[in-house]
Amino acid sequence: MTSFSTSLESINFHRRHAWFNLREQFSDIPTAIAANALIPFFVWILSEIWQRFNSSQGNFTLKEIILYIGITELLFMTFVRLGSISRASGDFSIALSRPRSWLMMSFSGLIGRSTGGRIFMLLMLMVAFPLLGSGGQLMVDSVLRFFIVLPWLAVLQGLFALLFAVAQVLWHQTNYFLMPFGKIFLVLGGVWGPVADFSEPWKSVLLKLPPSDLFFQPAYFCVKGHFYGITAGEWLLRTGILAAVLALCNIYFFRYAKREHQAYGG
Amino acid sequence: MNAWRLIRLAMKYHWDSQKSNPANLWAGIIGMIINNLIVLWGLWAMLFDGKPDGMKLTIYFLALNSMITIAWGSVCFFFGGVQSLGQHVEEGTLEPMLSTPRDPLLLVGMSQSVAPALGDLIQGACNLIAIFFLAPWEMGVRCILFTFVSGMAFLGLFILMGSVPFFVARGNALANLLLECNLSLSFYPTGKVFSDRGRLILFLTPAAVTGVMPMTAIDEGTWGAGLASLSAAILFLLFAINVFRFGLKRYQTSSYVIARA
Repeated sequence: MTSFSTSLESINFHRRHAWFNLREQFSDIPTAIAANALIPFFVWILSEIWQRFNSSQGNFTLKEIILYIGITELLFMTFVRLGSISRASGDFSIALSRPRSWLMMSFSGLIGRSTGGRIFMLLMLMVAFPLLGSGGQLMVDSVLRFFIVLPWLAVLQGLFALLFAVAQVLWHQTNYFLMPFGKIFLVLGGVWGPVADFSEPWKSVLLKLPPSDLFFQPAYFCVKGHFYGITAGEWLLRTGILAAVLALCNIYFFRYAKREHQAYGG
Repeated sequence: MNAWRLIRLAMKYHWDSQKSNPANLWAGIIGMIINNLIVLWGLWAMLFDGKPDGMKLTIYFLALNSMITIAWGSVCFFFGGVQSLGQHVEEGTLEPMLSTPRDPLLLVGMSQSVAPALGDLIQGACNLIAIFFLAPWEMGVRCILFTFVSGMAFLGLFILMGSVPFFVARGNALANLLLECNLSLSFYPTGKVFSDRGRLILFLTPAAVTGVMPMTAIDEGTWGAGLASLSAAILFLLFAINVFRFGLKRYQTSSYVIARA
């Protein structure tokens, strides 16, 4: 009974920690707006590029592609961010003296921050979408669908970011590793343009990879209401396996990093 | 000591310092090359592969990629300090560069060398070699010439963006955003995308001098396009230097910034 109430108390603590981090994203709105002001501009450029080179393939209409690129940009810009990771790993030495698990605390913090950032960016894009020519019922439906996948995507994003936070505990700096990693997800995930518009054999290969499950498929679902070439169950199974692998990697890598960690001055 | 010798000495010391941490140096360079290759392949696969005019556009894109990576990489590697110009201005730490008879912009530029930018230079050079094999040799020569022009324009852009904090509070964050936006506009094949209104908007941004005009000169190979690109880059660089000099009159030292805060 005591163990059950302790677990419940612990869950409650991490829930509140995630909520605190979520709200923090709204604490300095002018700076957040300035930091994200160019996203609608990128959506415009990328949709123009798509219109010039890929519109003839007929997978999307212009209205749909604006929403698609907006959603993938939003997911990518809040995916594995250096600031978030540095903050998660920054208090590691202090955290060793706390009764809470550092791994869980960082995880809940990362989930809260990414969810808050995503909601904030979505609100900004909801203002920009009609100006870019993609408002109305399609936008409302897409936004509602986005909220269906948002919690599960936050968990997946949290697990990826946690892996880098753990790596930072071990190596203190992961900038150079983070840069190509981010680009892999940017390109292979279909952030610049839908994976469905790639030519063969790239399309078939990319659709089987995790970046596609994290960016292309959720954004496609938001815009179209179904996944591309797979069912919702298959997507959940694939991302579920990915989450399990990431969780195991995090636990194993954290144990190693904790053993090898050197605090500054160490 | 003349300026060239000073630059050479600065580069030597930067390089010695970077070599002292080989793991960090190679991680940065290899990371940058992987990063650039992924971007290059991704854009090609998404936009050109399997399309009717794919090969023609592939060469265009390869030349654009080569020009931008070498131009951007050269500025960051040889005059990497200009990246921090805005930060110096915002934090009021320009004094060491102002207290000598040398040009403060030269001293700021020399104060840092960004090692991963060497990855940009290596990758851009590989693309250039590929252009000599895939396209007529004249295009390769034009690519080399207009990479210098683009580099000059990028230097101007860094100086202009670094001067923003003279005039705008928290200007450094804004300048970094604008710089990133301009890099994307130069890097994407925007010259082949926009027409009419879009092209007009494009020509109102610095991306016209850093990417679109030099690339048009490489692609078309006419004297008119070449001279227009060269004169636009020179004017832009002079404009940026003058904006910096004008802004310098509004410079506030760190002691004043802290006292005011």
